[in-house]
Amino acid sequence: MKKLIILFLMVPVFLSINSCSSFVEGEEISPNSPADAPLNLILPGIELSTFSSYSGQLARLSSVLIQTQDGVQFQFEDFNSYEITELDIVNEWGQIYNSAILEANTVIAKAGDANPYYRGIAKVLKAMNLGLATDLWGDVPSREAAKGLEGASGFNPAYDAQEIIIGDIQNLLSEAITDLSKPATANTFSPGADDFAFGGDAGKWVSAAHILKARYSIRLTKRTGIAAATAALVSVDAALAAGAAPQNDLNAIFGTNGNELNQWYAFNITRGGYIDMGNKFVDLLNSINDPRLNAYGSDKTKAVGALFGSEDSKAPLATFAELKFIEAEAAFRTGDLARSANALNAAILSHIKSATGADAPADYITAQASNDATTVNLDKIMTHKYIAMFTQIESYSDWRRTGIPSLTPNPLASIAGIPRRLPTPQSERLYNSNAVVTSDLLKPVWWDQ
Amino acid sequence: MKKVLFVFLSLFIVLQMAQAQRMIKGTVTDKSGAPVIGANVVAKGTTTGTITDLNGNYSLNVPSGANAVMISYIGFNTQEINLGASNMLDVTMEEGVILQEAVITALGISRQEKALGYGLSRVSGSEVKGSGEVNVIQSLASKASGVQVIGSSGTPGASSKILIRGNSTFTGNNQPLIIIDGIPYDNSTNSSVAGDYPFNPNLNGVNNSNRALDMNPGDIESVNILKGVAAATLYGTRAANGAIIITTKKGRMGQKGLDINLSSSIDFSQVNNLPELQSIYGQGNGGGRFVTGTTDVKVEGTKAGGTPNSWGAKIPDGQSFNNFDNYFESGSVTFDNSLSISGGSDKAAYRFSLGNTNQDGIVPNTFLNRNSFSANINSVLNKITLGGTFNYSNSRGNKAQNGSNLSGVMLALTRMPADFDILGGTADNGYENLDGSQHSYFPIYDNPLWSAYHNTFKDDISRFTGGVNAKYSPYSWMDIGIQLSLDNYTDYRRQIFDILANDTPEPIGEIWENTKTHTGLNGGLVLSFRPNIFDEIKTDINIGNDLTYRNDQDHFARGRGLGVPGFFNLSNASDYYTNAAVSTRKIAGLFADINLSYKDFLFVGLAGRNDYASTFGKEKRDKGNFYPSASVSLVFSELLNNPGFLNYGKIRFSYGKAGIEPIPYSTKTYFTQPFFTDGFTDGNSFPYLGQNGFGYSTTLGDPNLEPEILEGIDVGFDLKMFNSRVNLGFTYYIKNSSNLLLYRPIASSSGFDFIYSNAGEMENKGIEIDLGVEVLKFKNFNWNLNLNFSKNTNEVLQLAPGVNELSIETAFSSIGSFAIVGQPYGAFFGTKWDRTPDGKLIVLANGRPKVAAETGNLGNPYPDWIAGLRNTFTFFGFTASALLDVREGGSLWGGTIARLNRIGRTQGSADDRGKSFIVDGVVLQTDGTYKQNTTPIDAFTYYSVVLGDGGGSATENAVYDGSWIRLREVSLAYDFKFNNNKYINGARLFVTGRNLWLKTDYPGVDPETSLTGAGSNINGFDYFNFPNMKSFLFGVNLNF
Repeated sequence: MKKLIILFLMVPVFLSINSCSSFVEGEEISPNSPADAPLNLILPGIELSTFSSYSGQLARLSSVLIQTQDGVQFQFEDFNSYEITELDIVNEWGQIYNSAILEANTVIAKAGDANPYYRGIAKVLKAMNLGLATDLWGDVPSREAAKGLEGASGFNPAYDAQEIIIGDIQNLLSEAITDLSKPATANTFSPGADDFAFGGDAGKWVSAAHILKARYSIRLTKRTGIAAATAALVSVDAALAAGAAPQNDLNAIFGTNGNELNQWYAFNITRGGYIDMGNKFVDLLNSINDPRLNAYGSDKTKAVGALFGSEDSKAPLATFAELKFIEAEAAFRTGDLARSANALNAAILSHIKSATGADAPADYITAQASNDATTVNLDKIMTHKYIAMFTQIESYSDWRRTGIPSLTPNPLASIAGIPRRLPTPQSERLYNSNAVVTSDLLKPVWWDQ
Repeated sequence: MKKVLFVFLSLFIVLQMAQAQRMIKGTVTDKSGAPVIGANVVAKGTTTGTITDLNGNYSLNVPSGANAVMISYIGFNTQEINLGASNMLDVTMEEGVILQEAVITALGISRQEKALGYGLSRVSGSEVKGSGEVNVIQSLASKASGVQVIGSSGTPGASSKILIRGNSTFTGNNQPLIIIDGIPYDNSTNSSVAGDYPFNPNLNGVNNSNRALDMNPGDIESVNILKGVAAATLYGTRAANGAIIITTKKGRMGQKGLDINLSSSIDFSQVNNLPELQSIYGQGNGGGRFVTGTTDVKVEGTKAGGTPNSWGAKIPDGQSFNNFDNYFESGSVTFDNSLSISGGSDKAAYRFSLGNTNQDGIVPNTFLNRNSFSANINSVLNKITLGGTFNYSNSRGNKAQNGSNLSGVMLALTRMPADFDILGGTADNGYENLDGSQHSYFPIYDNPLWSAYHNTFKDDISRFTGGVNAKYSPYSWMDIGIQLSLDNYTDYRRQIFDILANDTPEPIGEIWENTKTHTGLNGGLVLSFRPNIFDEIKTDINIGNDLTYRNDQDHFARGRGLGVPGFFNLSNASDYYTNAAVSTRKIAGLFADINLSYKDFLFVGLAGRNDYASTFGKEKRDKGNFYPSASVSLVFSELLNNPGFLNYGKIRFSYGKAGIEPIPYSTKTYFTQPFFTDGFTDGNSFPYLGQNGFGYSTTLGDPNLEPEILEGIDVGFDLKMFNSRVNLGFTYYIKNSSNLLLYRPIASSSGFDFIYSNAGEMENKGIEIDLGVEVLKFKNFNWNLNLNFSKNTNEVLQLAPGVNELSIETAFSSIGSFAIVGQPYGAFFGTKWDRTPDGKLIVLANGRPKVAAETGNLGNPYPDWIAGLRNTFTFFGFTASALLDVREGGSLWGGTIARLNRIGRTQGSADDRGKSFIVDGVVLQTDGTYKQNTTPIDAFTYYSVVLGDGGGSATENAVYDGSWIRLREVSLAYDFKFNNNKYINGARLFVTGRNLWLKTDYPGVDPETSLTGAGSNINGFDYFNFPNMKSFLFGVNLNF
């Protein structure tokens, strides 16, 4: 009996001595997350990330800076006095690289030549995200960005000059147009419902890519003057030829579930009272009896109105209206004043129609949208673009580039002027040895110099 | 390994020998005549000894030359009896001053205290129970040196954190392993969080419980705290932060009759400290801001208007409200009842107990209810000892919303303007209006009463722990022990945010169903040998293995958009989200532990463990990691011819190394469902518009992960002087943590935010002093004084290359808790005022101080030192005791006060209204020189910027000293003696007060507070935290 008990007790110990290392096997792969994902699951992430970047905090912040919104409470009261610290924009910066550029690179590589639509869309989205980063932060990592998977060599990406980045953006967009212009049959896998923006319609992406090309051409007016305008007009023509039209606008798409909400709406619900309609902006719309006032939000004590601030309102990303304003500005700069005036009138009317669902009233047309070669001027073009581009970050770039409309900086702010960039995020200052740190908010980015 | 074992086995069998000279027999009994079982009987000056049997009988072959026997047993004075002519020697043991108590160390191995080469603290079960704390971890506060307990708040079930000798890891768990009767006992603090929730859930939500809460303090016999690294070597990776070894009460073999104990108490608590608020000025905006848009007073029943600010007009007399009084229940009551029955026969002993605790919180509708049942049984059958323990507990409660939370109670309550009546709604309950809307002063804050009743968080935890152990002792010098145990709980939670609640993306109602399951299985086998190799050297060897399996599952379901009002079931929702996460880790260890003692005054211990863990990459899984330790203890008083006043003196030294394994699934980079947020909304996430989406996790995996390494030395002495009336223990330790695993931040432009890798190093150094003095000792009057003092200094020595600051967990954009090279772990990092090189504040032309461009170090939450001083007086049947708790230093981030200053709610902001302030600083001139500031600013600007967290403020202004002196416990008890009463053996009546007196300069709630609780490595944050309590407890304890 005793011996039996001893034997019984000894068995487990010897079994386990032999098998300590095998005991701990079999748990190395996470049951919670996949190690890889297919194209049609990565693309939705890039799109949603781009929607969020273009219509979330950066849109609210830039709207406060150009006074289409007023920061009233708490953090946004700080932004209203230009207190933007290196900690305030860490998430936004990270999201551009983590959730869009890295995944866009992944899709571009994964899709290869066999899936040009996926590759093309990824290139457009990558260009949009690089563009957002460089417009707000100036010189940023681009060519060496998002290479963390390669190990330590990818941890400190160099900062590229903005001039280089904008060239790369144009190239990406051109390559995307080539990819997206291929026949559907050239694709092993084609995007469908996983493409929130266009449901896999490559033609609409081509038109959007041309609009973006026009945007980044006109961006350089301060640097290259007429050449920027000339280049922009080439893309304007190409966009129109590719079918640019209000119904083909690139918009961020939202839904009604709690995790699908338009971010202006979501912000107003959870952070009501932090920001409200810009007093001066409302005054501006009132002064011209703009029919969009109610859709935008007419109450200075309230948030953005129903057009952009409902549960599932679309957020415009690259639109026909913007294209026509670019055409107006570019034509004006190249001296084609008649084309400029026509484009301006078309831009205003088209935007009012899509914003209000109705044609502009006759007296408004008379007063605002009846420009001709003798009456068109840059101030009109850019002021109307400022109105039409309400809620879009693009407006902040336009204002920096043109100084129109003229804005009075908050006199109580601690810096003497409206910021012309965002500060380098803390995460870059601390962890990227190649970071070019700029904390002076008044230092213009390259195209603003 | 197998071979080594056999060699050992055979060696010891051969070496077993004894010289028989003379057979001494006798019986060992206690004063009542009951046999003392298992007492040690040793021939003096030899290693020959035996233990008494179940009848207290022994027989011992005393070798020639030995002329006395030593008889010892736990809890009794050791007796030395000279041998006379008779071979019969009966001994009556006396309970008394416990000079040499055996202590339970790692893996249940019992050691004489004098043999220990490392620091160990002990807290008795009566101290635990006597504290009146519901949470056993909180009951340890200021009772042991080297131990810091950090309570998070006074609400029912709020977690308490325990740290032994500071923090030793950056990102992992810093709390010690808890072992109850050999069973590893999970003490996690889990929060409920949806997989698509983008923020740190520790910053808001409810004060979750640490799961040691499930333990009934009344079952605890003693708590041994293993502090040094060497002490815990045998537990391997799990005990790198030390171990708390809890022994529960047991029955006693040979006990006469049943021992029935009934204990009941009632506790009355109320809030101790709150921020001082003004009641002079009402809701409104003054201030002269750039933009004044909002209507000052909210339009009732709508979401329109309203400001959270109290910069409004003076409130007419009699129209202000004390909403604290109107809110908090006047007192929280806790009932505690426990019943235990123990007994024993000659061959078995058992104990059963029942415990019941019911606590109502001061926040309306909050409670904690705990019921527990435990049983243990031990029996001896010839050479086999069998034991089993069984414990079931159920803890359930309701908790209220806390912290940075739009439904948070303290947030909306402290910001509430004094002219707003929390009960002023038109509905009967006062917090609602007749149309069903919330009665509130700001559209996005819930009325805190509404929140308490409508945003409920119910948890219900059923827990089973149990274990069996068997020991077979074929020879007196050899045992084989086996132990198997299980710790299993299911933690079911339901969070409701009722329709209209604000802390959700839309006020459409939300319900979460969350089930967390923990399963811990542990098994091990220990072979123990005590061979007599040399006469003067005693050897005690333990060899064994230890297998651990831990599985945690988390199932979360959320429904949004509730339809039928007041019906809280997922079926009532229109929008669903679910996620599940599973984590399994397995650890295997082989260990050996060799203890040598020379002439009972020099002790040497050597131990080693090879640890295998499932969370490493392949190579490390195969090879394992080896952790050794060594300790020496020298009872030098035995060497002194005439030690004088010194009764006992020991010096000790130990060295140990331990490791912590990586968290599961960290060796690879995975794809996850991304979520996109900016910190202001819950953002967008998947599934989105019917599509799922994946992207790379923001954390890179590392296939070559190494264990975190802890190396520690521990030196000290223990002295007993003046007839053992003065006991002094002193320890100095250094604990170095290297190869620390951390989420090493990398620039996001790499596409990733972090790589989980080995990089950091940090060091804890400190001293511990334990002093016990029997100041006065008379027959019916005693005065005892016990002091424990701990000083721990932590310094982060190294982070990853190029990384000088590391965020411990995501916190607020204005402040975070960081590891910073050269600073203590957990340092606050946030915005600072800009200063000239000689330290003067730089003031802007507008008279406001300037915020520095870059954030910096603002202090750290860990105290310079802490001490507990207990005075105990006994006078006839009375025992009076007072425990004073001192904490010196350690900062708190008073985010609450900063915000209340900004919005004009603090008393100061009212007293100073209308005044102007000139900030003491210098203004930069155009020529580059500085000139003293002369520009005044108004009170609004001063309170929102200089003292508050308004635009242009620096978080530096909200960091306060968290020092305190508190009367943590004071108690008075009377023991009734019943001599030979048929029905009752003893009775005790007692009254205990907790936190009755607190001295602190901290301007908010009790500085013993933590927003993030025990589930987080962040400490010292106060952002609308619940307050702490002071209480009176009345109790009776009856023994039958």
